[in-house]
Amino acid sequence: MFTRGSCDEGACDLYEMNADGSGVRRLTRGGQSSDGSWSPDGEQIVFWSSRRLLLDLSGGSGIFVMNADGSGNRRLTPDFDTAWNPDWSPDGETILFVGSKDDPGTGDEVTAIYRMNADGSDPRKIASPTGYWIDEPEWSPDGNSIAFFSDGQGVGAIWVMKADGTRQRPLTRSGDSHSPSWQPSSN
Amino acid sequence: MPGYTLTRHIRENLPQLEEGAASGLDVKVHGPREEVVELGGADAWRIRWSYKGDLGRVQLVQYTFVREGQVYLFTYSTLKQWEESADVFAASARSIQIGAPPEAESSKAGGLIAFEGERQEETSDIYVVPASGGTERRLTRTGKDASPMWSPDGKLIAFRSARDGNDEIYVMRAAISSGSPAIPRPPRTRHGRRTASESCSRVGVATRARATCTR
Repeated sequence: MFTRGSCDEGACDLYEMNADGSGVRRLTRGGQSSDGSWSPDGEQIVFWSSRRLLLDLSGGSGIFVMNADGSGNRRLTPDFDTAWNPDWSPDGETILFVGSKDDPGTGDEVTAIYRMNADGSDPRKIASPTGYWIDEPEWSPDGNSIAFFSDGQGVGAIWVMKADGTRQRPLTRSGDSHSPSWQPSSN
Repeated sequence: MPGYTLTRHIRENLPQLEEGAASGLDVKVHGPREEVVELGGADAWRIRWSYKGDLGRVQLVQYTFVREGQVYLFTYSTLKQWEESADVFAASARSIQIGAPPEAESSKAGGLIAFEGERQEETSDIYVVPASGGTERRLTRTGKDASPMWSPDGKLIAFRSARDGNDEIYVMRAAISSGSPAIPRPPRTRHGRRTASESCSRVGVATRARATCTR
């Protein structure tokens, strides 16, 4: 599964193809959709989408879930100003994502890493790492740790932390680093 | 996969090669190697592998053979079966480095994290670093590779690359052993490559920066 198009300049959509590059199929149409993540059973896809371009006020922007064939879209994060980069947990029970909300005290927008149940219920903040740009949270194969991107040390780096948000530490220190992908445990 | 198994595959699945060998065809098994295979998918990013079904059970084995002085690349996958590539790698085959055998590859659970590293301005390559901390290792050297994603079986890494001018999806073997240098300059075969006029660039937006493609 991959994204094609420019989300910043217009339309972007999710596609899938066979592992040999054949059989490209478009999964979403209209608006903007990206950041797809399969459920472990392959039956569903959680993804970021913005429907604002279509003036679909009921849709908004945030995390959506759909069936693997592209049908049955449903928004999971109506309570967030913005939410993106979802990652389905290895056990299929929860979804990790980055969300922004206005701080009720200061009014400032605060970005943090959240987890919620796979049906969108009970979103809980896991961590508010330092840095202006926090992105790309990724479960470890055993679900006990999370890798993510943060520019909290003045340079974009890959960080890891425990699944409860504790023990945050950078793994990379030289130059910008993006897009962590954890090695699967089953070889 | 040991060479014996590959040889057996040749004998069992490619009888036409055996016939060729009998008439002077020189079959040489060079696998397993570290390979990069272009899959097509122009203007693509945020790659994810499927988890089950045929899409998630891809077995990719490649080897070369020599026929009439030309080196050919064969590719086997569970989806496409044996096929002969039209590409010839006579020049690159001589410099191919043999990868570490699978049993020497790192298979520790969750042991490595692949990522996109920008170590020089305007360049990016694929690196891995132990999840427990340690020295990062560079896997590609084109300066135009990004957004890595492990396959579910941990044997392949899909990634985005603009190495030939178009931003497309590639896949490479994740044969990473201790002491192994970066993946060597790889030969390449193309599957279903699509004509692409799009180009990609990395841009930032208000609350986050992300890889996007522009036309």
